[in-house]
Amino acid sequence: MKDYNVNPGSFRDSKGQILEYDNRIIRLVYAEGANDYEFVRDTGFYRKLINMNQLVNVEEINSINIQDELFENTKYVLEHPRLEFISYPYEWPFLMLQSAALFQLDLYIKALENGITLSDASAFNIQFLGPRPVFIDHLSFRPYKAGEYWLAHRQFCEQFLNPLLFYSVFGIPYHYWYRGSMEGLKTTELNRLLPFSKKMSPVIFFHVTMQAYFQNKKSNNDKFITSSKLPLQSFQNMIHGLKNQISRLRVRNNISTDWEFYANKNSYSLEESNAKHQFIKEYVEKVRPKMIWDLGCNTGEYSVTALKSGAETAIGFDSDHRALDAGYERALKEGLNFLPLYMDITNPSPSQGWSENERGGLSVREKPDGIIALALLHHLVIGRNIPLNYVINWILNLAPSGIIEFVPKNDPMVKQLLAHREEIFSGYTLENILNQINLGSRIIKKETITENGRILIWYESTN
Amino acid sequence: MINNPGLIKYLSIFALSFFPLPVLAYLDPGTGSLIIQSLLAAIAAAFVALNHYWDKVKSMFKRKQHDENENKPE
Repeated sequence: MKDYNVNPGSFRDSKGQILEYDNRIIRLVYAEGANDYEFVRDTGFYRKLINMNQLVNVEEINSINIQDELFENTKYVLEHPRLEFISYPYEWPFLMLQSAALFQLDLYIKALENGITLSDASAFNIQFLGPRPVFIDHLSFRPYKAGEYWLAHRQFCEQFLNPLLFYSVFGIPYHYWYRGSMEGLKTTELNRLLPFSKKMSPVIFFHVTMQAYFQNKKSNNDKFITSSKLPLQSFQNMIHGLKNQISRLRVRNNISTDWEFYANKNSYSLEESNAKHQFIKEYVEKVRPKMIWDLGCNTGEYSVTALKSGAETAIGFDSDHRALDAGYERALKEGLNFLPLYMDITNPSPSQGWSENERGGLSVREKPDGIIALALLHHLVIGRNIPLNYVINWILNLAPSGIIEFVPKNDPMVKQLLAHREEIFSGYTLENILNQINLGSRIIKKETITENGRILIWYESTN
Repeated sequence: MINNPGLIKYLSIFALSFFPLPVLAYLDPGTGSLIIQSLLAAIAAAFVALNHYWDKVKSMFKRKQHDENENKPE
């Protein structure tokens, strides 16, 4: 009887495989990967990274009660802690991808100092615990052989450098392109777009323009590859040069990523925002949700209140890139377990890749215990023409309880949305929202927080 | 200059082609990436060669100075 699931994102590596068994995360190390694994383990490098919280923990377990052909070639069985939430680079705001890139380069620096290198540089090997990047693929590490090239350099450029450059140079988010290709931005394609002035930067010239030039030369270009060994020093210089360049990248036209600046721009009165904070505090203290999803999180102001009131993790979703960056900066600065992700709620990340399940869509990931959906409904119903009952049902199905805010039509924010629109939203009323919620849930508390009738609704599933 | 065996060795690196890479990759490393790194490697080799040659020149000069100093006190 098969009582485990092979993790659909781990099949490309011939050295091992990830299984989910009995709600545990198990990694098999096959004979092909055993020598490299032993080498890295015996240098103490795994422990060193784990102690610095840069690598997820690993324990060797002696046996596991599975009889299967998958195990015939298995030399080691490892166990890792289950991560709270998996996110992907095409959901990370600029500052998060930048953090991940610098983190990946730092891992290379540390590894090389220990006679180790990595067989790849995939952004999917990095996850975030709150705002902190952590590496998850232990079998990526292998012994460094003197003189070898940085064989994952192309992958690093495509998955980290190019998207960051693209956003930084053109001010256009990389997320749509990245999500489409799933592997980042091709160097040859980025090079075609870059203006001449940008190519004059030595790092861009070397890593993008020259790489693209030689990649493009179709025939016989292999003869340019000499057998010269790349000295360790040159390898390290490449890494340091990239680190330097990437750490200096900024998003163009990004006025400020200061969350306070951002929060102040909202049209909320202080009274209104205090009422929201108080309402969320009461809800979290009563319900004790472990993981909160904050839909339309902006800079994560209310996620922070949820965390301070006892929630363990808050995942924020928004389509405002600057607000997400500001939220990330704040989480980093204050050490908050808040993960701000780019997501268009009307078009969330799909399951994609090989067999359409290599990278899980939003609906197959870890579910939240509670929802905060403030000032969201009108954006979806009026801004995007999603029927009200669709939106409410979608939210109700995410978690057993949560808070939804109703913003009435006479609110300036809604008036703005309606300014050039035909009024076809007669169904957008408080009454309809309450009726829809009452179908499978009950209302625990309702509070009017502004004079014009903004209302917070705390609901709980009756199922 | 051409009699210097070290320099000949390093210069010959430029001539070497069609050799397998030091390590085979788990991913396709991409021709573009390999070529630019092999250029770096060649430049590094050239520097090593130049240093080697320069050290020889310096050491010849030093020895000469040293010899002169040795002779002075007596």
